[in-house]
Order: sequence, then structure tokens, then C-alpha cells
Amino acid sequence: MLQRQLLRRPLGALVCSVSCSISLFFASSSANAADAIVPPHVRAQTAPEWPTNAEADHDVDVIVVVTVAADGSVLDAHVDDSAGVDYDHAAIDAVKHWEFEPATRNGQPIPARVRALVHFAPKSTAPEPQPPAEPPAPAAANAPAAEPTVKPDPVVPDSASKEAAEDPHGPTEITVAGRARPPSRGASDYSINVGDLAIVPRKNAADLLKLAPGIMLTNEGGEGHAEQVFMRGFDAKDGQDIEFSLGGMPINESGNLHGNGYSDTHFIIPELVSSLRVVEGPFDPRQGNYAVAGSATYELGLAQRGFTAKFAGGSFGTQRLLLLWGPKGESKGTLAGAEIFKTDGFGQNRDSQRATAMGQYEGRLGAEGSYRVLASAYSTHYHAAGVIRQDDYQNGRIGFYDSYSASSYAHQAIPEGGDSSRYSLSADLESRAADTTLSQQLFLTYRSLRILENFTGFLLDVQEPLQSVHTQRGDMLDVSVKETTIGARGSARWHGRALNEPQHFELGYFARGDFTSGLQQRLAAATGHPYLTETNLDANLADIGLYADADLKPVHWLSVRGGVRSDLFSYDVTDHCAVHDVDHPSASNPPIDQSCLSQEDYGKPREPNQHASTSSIAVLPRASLLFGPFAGFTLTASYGQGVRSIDPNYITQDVKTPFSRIAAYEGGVIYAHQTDHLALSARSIFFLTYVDKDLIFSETEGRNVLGVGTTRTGWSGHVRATGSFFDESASLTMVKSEFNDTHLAVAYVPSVVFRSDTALFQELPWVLLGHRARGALGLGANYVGPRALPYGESSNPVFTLDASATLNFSHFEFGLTVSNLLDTQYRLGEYNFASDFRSARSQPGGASAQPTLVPERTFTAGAPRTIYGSFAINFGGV
Amino acid sequence: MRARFVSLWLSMLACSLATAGCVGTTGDQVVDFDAVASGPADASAGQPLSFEGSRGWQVKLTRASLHIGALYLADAMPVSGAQATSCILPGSYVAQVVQGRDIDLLSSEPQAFPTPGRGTTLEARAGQVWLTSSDVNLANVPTPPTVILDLLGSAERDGEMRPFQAKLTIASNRVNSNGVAGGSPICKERIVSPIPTSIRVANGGALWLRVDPRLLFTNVDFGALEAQGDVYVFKDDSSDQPSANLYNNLKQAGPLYDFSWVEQLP
Repeated sequence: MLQRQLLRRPLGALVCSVSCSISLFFASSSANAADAIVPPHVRAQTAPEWPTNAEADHDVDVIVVVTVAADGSVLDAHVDDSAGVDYDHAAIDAVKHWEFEPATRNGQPIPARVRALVHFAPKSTAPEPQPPAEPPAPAAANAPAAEPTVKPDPVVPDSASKEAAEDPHGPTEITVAGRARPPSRGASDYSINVGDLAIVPRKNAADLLKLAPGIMLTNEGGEGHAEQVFMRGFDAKDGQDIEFSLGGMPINESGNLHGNGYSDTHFIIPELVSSLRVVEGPFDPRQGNYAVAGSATYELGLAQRGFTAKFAGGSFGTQRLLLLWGPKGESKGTLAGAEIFKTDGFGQNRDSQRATAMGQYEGRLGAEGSYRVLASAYSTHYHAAGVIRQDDYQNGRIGFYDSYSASSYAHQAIPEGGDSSRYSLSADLESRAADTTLSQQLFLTYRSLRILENFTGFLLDVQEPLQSVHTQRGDMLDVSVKETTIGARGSARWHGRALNEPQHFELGYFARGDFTSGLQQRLAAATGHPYLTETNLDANLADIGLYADADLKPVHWLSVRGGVRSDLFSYDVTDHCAVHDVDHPSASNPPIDQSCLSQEDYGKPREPNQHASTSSIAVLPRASLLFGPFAGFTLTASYGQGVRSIDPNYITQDVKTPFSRIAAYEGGVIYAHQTDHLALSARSIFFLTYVDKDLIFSETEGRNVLGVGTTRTGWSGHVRATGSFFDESASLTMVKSEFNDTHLAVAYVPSVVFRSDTALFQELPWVLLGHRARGALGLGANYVGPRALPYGESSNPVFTLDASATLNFSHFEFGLTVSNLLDTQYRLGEYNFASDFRSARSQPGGASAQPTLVPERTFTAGAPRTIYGSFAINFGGV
Repeated sequence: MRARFVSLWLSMLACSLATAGCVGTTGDQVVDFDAVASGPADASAGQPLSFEGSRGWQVKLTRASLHIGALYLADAMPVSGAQATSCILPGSYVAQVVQGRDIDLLSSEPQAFPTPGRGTTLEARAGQVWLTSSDVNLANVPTPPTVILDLLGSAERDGEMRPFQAKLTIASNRVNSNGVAGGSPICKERIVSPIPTSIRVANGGALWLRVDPRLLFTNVDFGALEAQGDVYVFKDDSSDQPSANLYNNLKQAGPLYDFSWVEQLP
């Protein structure tokens, strides 16, 4: 829609401001109607001065391309249509003093480039200056409200800019500067802008995943342990079935002994997350290893510029100091943050401390490129309460929030918990050369992790015939992992036109090398000394992938997206403890108490280590069809194959397929609608997923172990509504997960998950310190239905409410956050397995009680009501 | 296949409000059951048990008491031919009774254990009887050691009458290193295992262990016993043949112990 704004000045020079039609610079992925783009508009202008050596006797027009920063200032201006050097200089000088309301995407300021017409009118014809007209209505409001289509060339007007072509001054357009977003793969592809929903209480960056449907998070390992993520029927354990990344840098840890693909997102400061893309299914050729349930990509961004210091404190001795910095005049992707956190925990053995620092710089690379450098450091030390047996809790032998580690009968010299640290560096650049967008990224990560956990108490250390006589020394697992990851990814995306529609084709690669060492031992409860080595591995792993992806539009209502990806997985594993026992030990030199044996059957000598190597290639086709939009509705269908590499401890020499493979199908519908006051999107999806070798939790090994194939079938619905004073996101997912051979349910997976995030925000009728106050309320509601447990049992459903309120005025913000508002006593994780914590023997008359060897319900406690107050101050912000 | 998917999704839609009923099952079930033990079916409470023993001895038992510390059932038998098995059975345990009691082996009446049993509905293939009153791995606990088997009776052959008595314990007196570390750990002495069985426990029924004291005297020659006063005493250290055979019979996972399942106790 062509808009014209006239601003008249006493000197008689007329200046025309922005005339615009929106033409997207990059392929935009989301059908979320909140992905609206509002162009910049002029807030204040400076009239150009007539060149001193020019006669002011005729109209002169100069077309100037202006780059507007996210804070509204003019970064750059150059002439696009010259009227002569003198007029050009005058126009540039004037434009550089203009002030803009910046362009926005989903309400967030973004840099943009706009073509502006500077009109020199002769003095005699200059009308009296008029106040600026109202900003033009956003062109996006008149664009189809469904998924934005790809506009490959910013200088080529698209069909929406027909009116712009009628402008006698020539077509004008806005180029929105930013990173290319991958095209949507269907209804399960969620590009989530956190936006005002940031006010809803969240404990960490993993909690942001709940903005996508079907996500449940538990954590049996403490504050520094990765969350156990359930997504659409998958128990992704500590991230093994979800490909996690931060700005393209992988987070999954290949070769982690605790779980291959372990993903700990605690190093991400949640206030620095501006958006995330969650794809629930392996439908995008860019998705690589671990994208079995799907993928989650975090993007950093800090909307509030300036320096912010925030302190929060409250229940259970919790204190958090957060420092954020967003330099004014830089993009929101330029930021830094540092955090120090400590808590005593809400029950026994739950204290933790952590510190995080991260910084990112985003800069321009010429006129059409950008680069980004990200560095982060993270360290934490924590304790964990572990599991509680239901019979002990019901019989009063242990409290709901207690820990066996703190008990007299199951005391551990070294309690459960751990240490975790991570250091990472990533650099990427994106540029455009003619009709091709090029990107390249390098990343380097060092990771160190120690986990101490005991699920089974004093059950597993049985007396073997040839061992030294011993009692049960306890089942405490001590897992240590060190890992260095280095890698790169890159792509070239060609933008073209055919059949009168934009067409795209992309080739890309991904490469990572992981150099890991892992040690798992059991520690004696009384002394904390290791008495058994279970695993001692060094592994060098490689994952190199290539992909081709096409985004085709045969007609304007049909998009065909997809391609193929191929990954090579290679393993080079040295097991330093390959032999734990033999059927016929040497009579003259029995192993006795050795963990790692140097003999085979009948005492035949061998070295205790074993080297194994293998590699294999997975070819993964993926395709999506999008029909529409028709009156706001888009129908989608997607198919994809995904892969998850297996743990190095399962590798034997030349094993053919060192990975699990999945096939996923889905069909869905997306609705998107936007008016001046409301942005609405809704989705309904039916899905089906097959896995050939699934991972099943083993409490005795303390991690997932390879099992048989499984199938998931379900439905998911999601709604997001954004208005001028509210933002609401709600979702419901129902899924059936079963084993392919027996059709029995897969344990621990929730069959129903409901989530609602609500934010209300409004200016208040108060003036404090000369500034109008602004209030905001946030509410998060979570319902998880009963989960199937082993041995035919099911867990209790869980319903929790979290709420927060903030008051902003001037540079200050006061906040109050209440988690578990209803103070529900709930079980975060529920399990059913054999354990013996000797608790029955601690009771009067219980000395003769023998160990419990059959499965019993155990659980981890969810946090009770937790209240935090916070105070923040911002300097130098917008 | 399409009909199956449609019915699956329709059922999930219908269950959106009744979530508790829509959780699939992982199979099997956790159950609670009664646990009892007794002597053989043909024994009568309060009556001596008379039978023909080995080597022509006619035995008359007037007292037979066995202390049982715990009962366990597991879903797998150990693999034969491998190294000596550990005290714990392979596979998974599917039933347990963890509080013990003394059992009158001269009574066929079911004698209930202090606490109910608990288990799963998986089929049990092997059973264990733990003859202990404390930590099965601690040879010196308790002090003094618990009498596991308490026998009183008489044996007669060719007109010779020998009253006998046995009070057997399983403690440090049974530890035998054989010069090898752990050679015969005390848990191996205290745990009778593996007892072949085929049982599925269930809610409401009862696990019944029958112990036939007559089988304790297989290959026991009362003529080799030494007299202490008027009574011939089985030694608690297996230092003579009849004492050793009595003790070995006690530990044998043979027909001496028999697990069965009853839907309802008499």
C-alpha cells in the first residue's frame, strides 16, 4: 500500500517520507500471524537546505536509501537516484538528522532499510508546514494473513506492491535487515517469539520450550542436571531425542557417558532469549543428529537496551544477581549478560550455586551481510535429593521433601549432586551475493560434567563367590565426562523466480568432531571411595552431514519444501575396562575384586582394554507440502526420517548401523489472522512416528539403554493471540506411545499435556518520579495427565500455576514471582523399579527386615510454593 | 491401517476430559498377597511326625522349627555351567516377603508371615528362602546367632533308641574361605537357591511355602552321632557326618522346599 507523508517546513522544502510496500529480504518461515512486520516511519525530520549554488526555482527529487537502526537512529544513508552532487549532499545531510520510529517484527524493534524521497520544492510554491501525518498503516495488515511467502529479491516489487508501482516517484520498498529464517516445514514448525510472555515465570531456558505444544519437563538430578524433556510422546530423557542448538551452535553432547546427546541448557540466561524455533518432527533437511522427536533452536536477543541490573531473592535462601547490557545503537543481537545464583533448595540436599556469562556481538558486513560472535562461560556446583520410595513416605520413614542421602540409614559420605561447566565460542557470518545467501559458522565447546546419583540405594552390590567378603556398599554412581567439540556448518541458498513465483534452492553442510572421555564408577556409601569401575571410555566421534533443500512454489497457493540429508557417523572408541567378568575364571589367579579384568575364560591373559571403530551413513529424505493460505487457512502435510546416534559403549567393531532411525508423518492445518488490534494463530496437527530402536530408562545403569521399536500417534493443538494489552499462548497434546512388538505403553511418557501462558500489560494511571507507570501480569498453567509406569501402574496427574507481576516506571522495575501458586504437593517424576534404601530396618522392630528386591513406586518431589521478589534498574535504555 | 489410526484418534479426542482412563498399560501389575508357610500336608499340629529315615532308622520328630527370614521369587533361573552363582538371582525379582518368622514344621496349617508379600504378575521361575534374622552378608550378626533349625525327636533301629537334638545356626561357624577370597560367602550359606517353581502371584491370593522336615534326614546316620548325656546332639559346625548331612540338606534347593500359589487360604 502506497503511503505518503508530507512534512512542510518554513524554508519551503517539501520532504516526502516513507512510501512503502513490504518486500521481505529473506525466506520467512513462520505462519504465525504475530510475525507481522511494521515498517519504520519518520518521527521528526530536518528539512534539506538548498544548495548554495543552485537556483530554487524548480522541484527536485532525490531518492535516498536510509538504514534505520533498531533504536530509530539513522545508521547510514546513500543516494539511490541522484539529482546532482549538490542536491545529493544536501539530501544526505538532512536525512542523517531525521528520527524514525524503528521497524518492528512482532512488536520488537529491528533494523531496516527504507527508500525515502527527499523533495526540494521551490520557495514560492512551498505550503505552510503541517504536523506529520499519522504513521502509515502497516502494509503487513493488508497482506495475506497466513504464512508470509518468500520474497527473493528486495528490489523486485512483489504482487503486494502494485500500488507502490503507481507512485509517480517510482516504487519504494522496505528491506528488513536480519538473519534468514528457514522456511516453515508445516504445522509442527513453531517460530516462537517470546515477547511479552517473558513475564510468565520460568526457571531456566529449558522452560521456554513449554511455549511449544506437548512439552513436559522433569528433573531428577538437581539444579545443575539437564532437564528430562518429554515431547509429543517421546521421553527425550536429558535431550537425546531433541536436537538443541543456540544460534546454530549445537548443545547436544555426543559421547556423553550419562547419555549420548545429553543437552544441558542451564548455561543460557533465559532473559537473553528472544525467540526459539521448535520443530516437532524431523522435517527440515537442516535438522541433524538427535532430531528424533524434533529440534529446538534458541536465538539470543535483548530488546531493552542499556545496562540493567536485577536482583531477585526469596524462598529457600534463593538469591540471583543478573546483569544485562545492550549497547544503544546496536542491534538487539548485540548483548551481554552475567548471572550469579545460589539457593538452599526447597528440601534436603538441594542446594546449588552457579555463575554464567555470555556475550554476543552482531555487526554488519557490507550492505547485505552480517556477522555474529558468541561466547559463553558457565559453571555450577549442586546437590540433588534423588528419589523417594512411596512406601517409605507413606509409612512416615521419610518426608516428601527429604533425601535418603541425609538419612541415618542410607547416608552417603558423598551425597548426590554434581558439577558442570561449559565454555563455548561461536562465530558466523551471513552475506548475500547477487541472488545467493551464503552463511558459514564455526564453533568450539569445552564441557566438563560430574554426576552423582543413586536410584537403587543398596541393591546392586551383591556378594559374588570369588569376591572379598563385603556387605552392600551402596549403588552411588559417579559419572565424569570431559568433552571437546569443534565444528562448522554452512549453506548457500539461491533465490530465483520461475512460474511467476519465488523459488529457492539450498545446499548445506554440517560437521562436528567430539573428543570425549568418560568414567563411571560406584562409590562406597561409608567412605565415598570408588569400589567398582563400570565404564571407562575414550571416544572420538565424527558427524558430517550434507543436505539439499528446495523450496518451490508451482502455484501461489502451493509450496513444496524438502530435500534429502545424509550424515556419516563415525566412532573410534577405546574401552579401558572391556572385561568385567568371565564364566570360568582362572583358579590360580582369580579376579577377586578387580573391576577390569586382564583375563578371558580359564585364565587366558589379555589386556583389559578393547578398541572398536565403525562408521555408517544415514540417508534421510524429508518433505513438506503447504496448501494455502485460503482465507487464512493453510493445510500442511509432512514426512521425514530422523536419526539418533547410539552411545559409544554399544559400539562393536564394524557394527553396521550405529544409530536409531525414525520415520515421522503428520498432517495439519494452520490458521493465521491479523487486524490492527489482534494477531491470532491456531494449529491442529495429527502425527505418527516410528522408531526402530528406542531408548528405555534403566535405573540400575542410571541412563537410557537401547530397547525395541516404538510408535507414537497423537494430536496437538496450539493457539496464540496477541493484542495491545495481552499475549496468550495455549496448547493441548494427546499422544499414545507403544512398543511395536507388544503394543504395550511406553513408560513415563505423558499422554495428555496442557499448557497456557498468559501475559497482561498496560500503562497504569499513575505517574511515579515523573514517569507513567506500566504494569504487567503473567500466568503460567500446566496440566500433565497420568503417565504409564512399569508394571501396569500410572502416575498421578499434575496441575500447577505460576504467576508474576511487575511494575515499571522510569528506570525501575519491581517484580513478584510465585511458582506453584496453589502450593500443590506434586510428584515431578514417578517411577516403578526395585530399590532398597534400608529404611524399613531403621524402624523399631525393623532390624530383621530384609532387602526389597521387587519394583516399588518411587518419585521425585516437585517444588512447593516459591516466592521471589525482584528489583531491577536500567540505565541508558531506550 | 487407516481405520486403526482413525479409531485411535477418535478415542483420544473422547478421552480429552477423562485422562485417567486413557493411559495405556505397560503390562503386568504390582500386587499384594498373603504369605504363609507350613510343614507337609500330612502333618498334624501338636502331633509328632513319624517316618522312616535313612539307614533303617525310624524317626519320630516331636519338635521341628525353622526360622525363615525372607522369601523371594525371580523370573529366571541361573544358567548352569557358568561360574558359581551369586547370592542374587539373575533377571528380575517378582515377589518378596521381607519380614520373617519361625515356622512349625510339624503343622500343616498355614502360618502367616508378619507382613504381606508384594510383587508383580510376571511368572516366577525360581524361588529363594533366606535363612537369616539379620543382614544376610554379616556373618557375625546377630550375637548370639539366631537358631535357624531347632529339632527334637528320637530315632530307633533294631531296638536301639537314640533321642536326638539339633540347634543349627548359620553364622561365622559356616564361613569357609577355602583359601580363596570370598570362597563361600555367608550369603551363599544362608540363602537356599534356586528353588524351581512356576508361579504368578496376584492380588488377594496367597504364596504358600511348604517345608518337609523328613527330607532333612536324607543320608543321616544317627548311629554316628555322639551322645551328650542322654541325648545325641547334632553339632553346629558340621564336624561329623550326620551333622554335615543335616546342614547340607537344609541348604539344598531341592524338594525340601516347595512354593505354591492358592487363590484363597483355607
